[in-house]
Amino acid sequence: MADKLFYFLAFVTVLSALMVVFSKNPVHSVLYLILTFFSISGQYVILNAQFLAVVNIIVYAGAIMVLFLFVIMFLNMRTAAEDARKRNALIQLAGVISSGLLLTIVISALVRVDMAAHIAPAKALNTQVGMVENLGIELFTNFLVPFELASVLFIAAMVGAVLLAKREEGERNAF
Amino acid sequence: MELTSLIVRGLVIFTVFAVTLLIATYSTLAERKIAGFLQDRLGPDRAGPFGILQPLADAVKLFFKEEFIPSHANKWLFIVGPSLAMLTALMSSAVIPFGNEFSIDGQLIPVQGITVNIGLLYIFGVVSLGVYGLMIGGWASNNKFSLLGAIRAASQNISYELAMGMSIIAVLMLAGSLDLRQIVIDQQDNVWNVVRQPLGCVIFITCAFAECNRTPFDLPECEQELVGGYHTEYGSMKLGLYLFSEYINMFVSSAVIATLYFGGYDVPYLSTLGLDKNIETIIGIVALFGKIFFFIFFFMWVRWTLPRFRYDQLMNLGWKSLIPLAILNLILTGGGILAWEHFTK
Amino acid sequence: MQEYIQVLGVELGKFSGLLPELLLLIVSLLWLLPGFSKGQKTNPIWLYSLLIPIAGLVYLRWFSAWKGQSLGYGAIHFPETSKYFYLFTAGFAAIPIIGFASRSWGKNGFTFQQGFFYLSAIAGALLSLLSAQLLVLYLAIEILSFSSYFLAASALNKNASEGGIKYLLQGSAASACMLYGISWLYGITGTLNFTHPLFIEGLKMASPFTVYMALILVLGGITFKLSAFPLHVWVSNVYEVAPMPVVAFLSVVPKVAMLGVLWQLLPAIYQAIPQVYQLIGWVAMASIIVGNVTALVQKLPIRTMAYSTVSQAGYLLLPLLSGSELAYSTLLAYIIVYSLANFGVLIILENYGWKSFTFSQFAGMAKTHLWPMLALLVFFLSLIGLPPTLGFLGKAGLFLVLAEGFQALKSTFYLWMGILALLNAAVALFYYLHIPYQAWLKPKGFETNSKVPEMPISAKTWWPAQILVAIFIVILVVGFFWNSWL
Repeated sequence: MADKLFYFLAFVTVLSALMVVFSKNPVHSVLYLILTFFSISGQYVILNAQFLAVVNIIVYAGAIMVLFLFVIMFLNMRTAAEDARKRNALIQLAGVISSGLLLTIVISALVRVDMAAHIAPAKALNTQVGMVENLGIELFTNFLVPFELASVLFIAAMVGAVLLAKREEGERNAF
Repeated sequence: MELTSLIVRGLVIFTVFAVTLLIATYSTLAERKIAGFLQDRLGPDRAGPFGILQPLADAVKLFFKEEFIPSHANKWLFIVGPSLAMLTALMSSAVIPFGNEFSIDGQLIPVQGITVNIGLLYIFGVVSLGVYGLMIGGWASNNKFSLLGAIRAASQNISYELAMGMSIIAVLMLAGSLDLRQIVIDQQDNVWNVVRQPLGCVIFITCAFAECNRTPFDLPECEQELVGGYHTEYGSMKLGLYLFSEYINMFVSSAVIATLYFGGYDVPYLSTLGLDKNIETIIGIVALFGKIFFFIFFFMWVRWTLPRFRYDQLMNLGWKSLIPLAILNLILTGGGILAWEHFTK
Repeated sequence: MQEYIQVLGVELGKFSGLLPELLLLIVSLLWLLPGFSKGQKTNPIWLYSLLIPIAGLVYLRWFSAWKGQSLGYGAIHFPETSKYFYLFTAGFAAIPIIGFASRSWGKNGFTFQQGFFYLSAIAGALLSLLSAQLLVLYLAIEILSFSSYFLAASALNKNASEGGIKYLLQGSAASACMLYGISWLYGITGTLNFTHPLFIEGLKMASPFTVYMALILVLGGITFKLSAFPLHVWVSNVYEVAPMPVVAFLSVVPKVAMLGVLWQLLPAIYQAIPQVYQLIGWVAMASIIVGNVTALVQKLPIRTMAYSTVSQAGYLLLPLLSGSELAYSTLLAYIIVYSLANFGVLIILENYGWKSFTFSQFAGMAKTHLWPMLALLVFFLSLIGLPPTLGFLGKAGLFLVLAEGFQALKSTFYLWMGILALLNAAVALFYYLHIPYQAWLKPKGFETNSKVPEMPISAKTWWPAQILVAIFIVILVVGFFWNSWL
C-alpha cells in the first residue's frame, strides 16, 4: 500500500515539477509548484514525519508561494512571448551543460543503489523519530549549533532585504 | 469490523460536514437579523416565519443568476478562485473535537472528523492556504480593483497569520501537545485557557477577525474603496461561494477560539454529576455549540460597532503591535510555566 | 530554581568551545540596536571600535583556547592546521576597517546595519574554519555569503543594488548546488561529520562516479566563495559597484576561510579516493587560464583586478593537491603575499580616487604621483612573482610543491600543471604591468589633467592608509631577503 502511494505521489511530484518549467503562464507555474510541495509533503507523511509535512505546507506552500504570487501579480507578467527567436549560442550551451549534468546525476543515482545501510551500525528502527517531541529533543541538543546559526542567518537576510528594498526619499511611489 | 468502523467514521465526518454547512447557512440569516437587532429594525422576515427560509431563497436566487466570466479573464483560474476559498474553509473543520467520545457497544467513537496529533498545526496550515482563494480570484478577474483588493487581502492575511501562530504556540506550551483533543483535556484538568492566557486570547481573537476578513479588517471587500475588492467581477454562485466561505471561516474560527481558549466541549463540574458517558458527550456538544454561537454573535456584534481600519493602520497593528505582544506573551508564558512548576513542586 | 540554573549552566557550558565566535555574533547583533534610536549615521569612532571584538577574538582563540567540547555529533573541531588560517582570516578582516570612514559608502556613510553585516561575515568565516560537520559548514558559509551580498549592495545607488542582487542570485544557485552535494554525501556515507571514520568508509564503498558528482556539487559552492572557475562570474560586477573596503574584504577573507575549509575537507576525501586531486587540479588550471585571459581584455583596472583574483585563486588552489608540510607552508606564504599585495593595490586605488579610472587615464602619472606608482609597482611585482619581492618566493614554493608531487606520484599531470602555471605567470605580466607601463612610459595625456583629483577623498583615512601601504611594502620587499621564518 505504501509502495503504491509512493509511486503515485512521486509521479505527481515529477509531473507538476515539469509543468512548472513548461507552462507559459507564470501564475500556472506557481500553482504547479504548490502542487509539487503538496505531493512532497505527502511523501513526508509516508516516512512518518508528520510535523515536517505540515510545516512544509505552512512555510513553503502557505507563505513563500504567496509572496511569489504577490510579485508576479504586481509585475503583471504576461505569457512568455516567443517573439524574437534569438538563437543565443551561449544560452544553448548553458542548456546543453545543465541537461548533461542532469543526465549524469540520474545515471549516478542508478549505478549503485546500496547505500549507508551497510556501514552505519544497525539501530532498531525508531518509528517515533518523526514525532514532534523527538524532533524537538534532537534539534535542541544535538543540532543546537546549526539551529542557532540559522537564526543569525535569518536576521541577516531580513535586515539585508529591508536594506535593499527600502524606498529612499524621492523615489517613485508604488502602492 | 473494519467496514463497520469505516462506516461509522464516514458517518461522523459527514455529520461534521453537514453541520458546518448548515450553521454557515443560517449564519447568513443570523447576520442580517442581528444587524437589524443592533440597528433597531427587523431583519428579513418575509420568507417563511421569522425569515427562516431566507437562506434558501438567497441560494435559489444566486443559482438562477447569470454566470459570466469577464472578457480576457483567465477562465480556469477564475473558476478555481472561489473553489479554493471554499475548499480551505471546509477543510479546517475536520480536526475540531466537537465532543467527547461516544461509547457504543464498548467502542469509543470520538466526535471529531480526523484524529491526528498535529491538529493545531493542521489548522494553521489550512488558514495559511486560505490566502490563495482570494489572490487567485482577484488576479484572474483582469480588473485593477480586484487586483488591489486581492493584494490587500493577501498581505493582511499573511501579516496576521504570524501573530496568530505565536499565540497558538503559547497554548501549545501550556498543553504540551499539538492535538486539539489533548488541549481540551488539559483545560478540563486545569482551568480554561482564557484565564491562563488573557493576552493570547485577545491576540488570537483579533487575528481571527483579520483572517476572516471581517470588520474592522474588511478593507479587501469594502465598497467605499474598492467597489468590491477581489469579488468585484464575480456573480451568481461563484460569488455565493466566496461569501459562503467567509461564513464557514467564521464558524470554524469561532470553533477554534472556543476549543483553544474556552474549554471546547468542557462543561465545568459535569463529571461530578456522574451521568452516563454518552449523555455527558451530548451535553458537551451542546455546550460547545453554545460557545460557538456566542462567538458568531460576537463577530457580528463587532461588525456593527467598530469602524473599519485604514490599510496602513491595519498593517501597523499587525506588525508593530500584535507581533511584539505575541512574543511578550510567549516569554511570559514560558516564565510562568517555570515559576508554576517550581512553586507547586 | 537551583537545579534549573545548574542545568542551564551545564548546557551553556557545552558551548564554551565556541564562546569567542558566539560573543562575536552577539556583538554583531548588538550593532543593530542603535539603529533604532540614532537613525543610521555612525560616528567614525564606532568604526575603530569594530577592531575591538576582532582583537578580542584573536586573543581569546590564539593565545588561550584552541580547544573545546565537540557539541552533538561532533559539530566542531579544533585541528592544529586551522590555527594559522584562523589567524589570517581574523587579522585580514581587520584591515578594511581603515577604509570604512571614506566617502564611498552610501548616502548615510557607514551605517549600523553594515557593521552588523561585517561582523557577522567575519563570524561566519571563522565558524566555517571550525566546523567538522557539513551542516554547520553550510550554515557558516551562508552567513558569510549573505552578509557579503548585502555589503556589496551597500552603496545603495542603482548600480550597486543591481550588482548586489546579481551576486545574491548567483550565490543562491551556488549554495543550492552545495546543499545538494551535501545531501548526496550524507546519503552515501550516513554521517554529516567529515572527520568521522564512517565518512571515509562510506566514500570508499560507494561508486567513484557518485562520489565525484557529489564532490563537484560541494566544490561548486566552495569555489563560488573562492571566486575560482566556474563560478567566478560575479567578481567583475561586484568589484566595480561595491565600496572599496568591501572589495578588499571580499578579495581576501572568504578566500582564506575557504582554503582553510578545503584543507580540512580534502584529506578525508583523498583517503577514500586518491584521484580527486585531478579534479582540484583541473579547477585550479581553469581558474588560472580563464582569469588571465579575461583580465587581458579588460578596460578598467578594477575589473582587471577582479579577474586577477580569479587567477590568483587558481594559484592558491595548487598547494591543496598534496597535503605535505611544504604545501602547507607554501599555502600560508602565498596567502600572505596575495593578501598584502591585493590590499595594497586596492587601498591605493581608493585613496587617490582612482577606482573608476580607465587605463589610459593613468598615462604619465609617474611624474606627478611618484609614491603611489612606486607602491603599485611593488604590489604588482609581488602578485606576478618577480624577484625583489616576497611573491617570487611564493611562486617558487608553488613550483616546488608541484615538483614534489611529480616525484611522489610520477604522474605527468603535475608536469603539465607546472608548465601551464609558468606560461600563465608570463601572460599575467602583461596586465599587471599595464598601469606602471602607462604611468612611466607614456607621456602625460590631455585627459589626465582634468580628471585627477588633487586631494585624496577623505583626510580621515589618508594617513592610516598610507602607513598601512608602507608597512606592506616593507614586508614584501624585506621578506624576500629575510625569509628564514618561512
